[in-house]
Amino acid sequence: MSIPHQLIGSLELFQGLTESELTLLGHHLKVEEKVHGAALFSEGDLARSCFCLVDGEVSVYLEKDTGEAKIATLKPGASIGHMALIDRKRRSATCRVSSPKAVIAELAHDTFDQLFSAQTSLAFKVMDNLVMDLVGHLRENNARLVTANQERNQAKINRKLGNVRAEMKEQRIDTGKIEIDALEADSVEVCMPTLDQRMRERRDK
Amino acid sequence: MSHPLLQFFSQVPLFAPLSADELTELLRAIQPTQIHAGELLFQEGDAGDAAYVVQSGELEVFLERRDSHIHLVDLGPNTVLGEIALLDGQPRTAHVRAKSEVSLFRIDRTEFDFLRRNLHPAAYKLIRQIATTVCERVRNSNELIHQVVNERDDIIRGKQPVSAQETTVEVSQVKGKSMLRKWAFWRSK
Repeated sequence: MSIPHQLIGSLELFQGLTESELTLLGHHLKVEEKVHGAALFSEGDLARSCFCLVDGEVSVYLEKDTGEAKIATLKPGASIGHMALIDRKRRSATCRVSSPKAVIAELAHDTFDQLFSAQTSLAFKVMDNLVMDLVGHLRENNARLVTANQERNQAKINRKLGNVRAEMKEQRIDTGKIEIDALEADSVEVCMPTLDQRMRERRDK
Repeated sequence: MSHPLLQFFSQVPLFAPLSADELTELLRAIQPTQIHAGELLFQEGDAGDAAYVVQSGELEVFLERRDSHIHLVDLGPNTVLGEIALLDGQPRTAHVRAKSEVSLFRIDRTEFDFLRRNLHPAAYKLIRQIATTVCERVRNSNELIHQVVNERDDIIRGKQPVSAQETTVEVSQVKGKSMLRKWAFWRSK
């Protein structure tokens, strides 16, 4: 099916494209209507393309010990699995249509690769949108990691404190004045260099 | 590949896909610079106005929190730093200090932006390389968040965390006052 250029240009990944770039893109996008429950991809699949939600709703699910858990719901305009345009790894989650119907545009990795190799302004602009989205995602993750670390440290402290208090009580020591503060080194304030080191270690193996 | 800078940059993985002509185009944004042992390259909070490629010497990335020095990582020749700031210009998230005499190449964000705005292939090949590292970082941090959140939940539920390093506690009594003497990772106030 085909959709108006204006609608393609309103998708997050395709912001800032000119009319002629949208026309070129239109030739390479596969647009389909999918019904409720249809999977875009499943966790573990090899990532071959990126999806954009034109209309409807898509939900993201993760496989957990307790079964499948919904971790996010996406609104029209959103890009789904767009890291596939950069590298081709396995999908880290499952995505399915969660509204009665949804319209989805698909851009294949190979197609994007060709457009990039041909040095089209279209591919460069899409790359720009893509990388800025990823950088924002990374900075958000860093902030989330700091919070998660602080919460974990606080939980550890509370538990330790509970143990110490119990032990002290047994030994009849006054427990009135203990206050403990997480050393901030452990909150991984800036995790990126640590992550980089991990990556290097992994690569060197 | 006659220019010595071209020869150097072709060995740096981030620049590997660029042709000699594209590297030459990029050179307009690149300036060699040197700092002495002990000097700061930049501080946390400084404007992210450039990326750097280390040619020789060693640098330390670290944080200062209250009175403690937190070592993050050491960087040696051929490594790149601040490449994400090259894309979004956000402030520096750590301090970087030279551990020895260091020679670097500074990639200026304003000059790079000029190439980027003009949709220059050299800029976009570099952006694509940076995007690959950003992807890896996003995946790694997703994994790490997942792990930390699980640890937190296990602790709250009273289960022992699987991978958390256990802290050691010694309780002693000094002149009737309680005191925590050894508390790895935690400190008493």
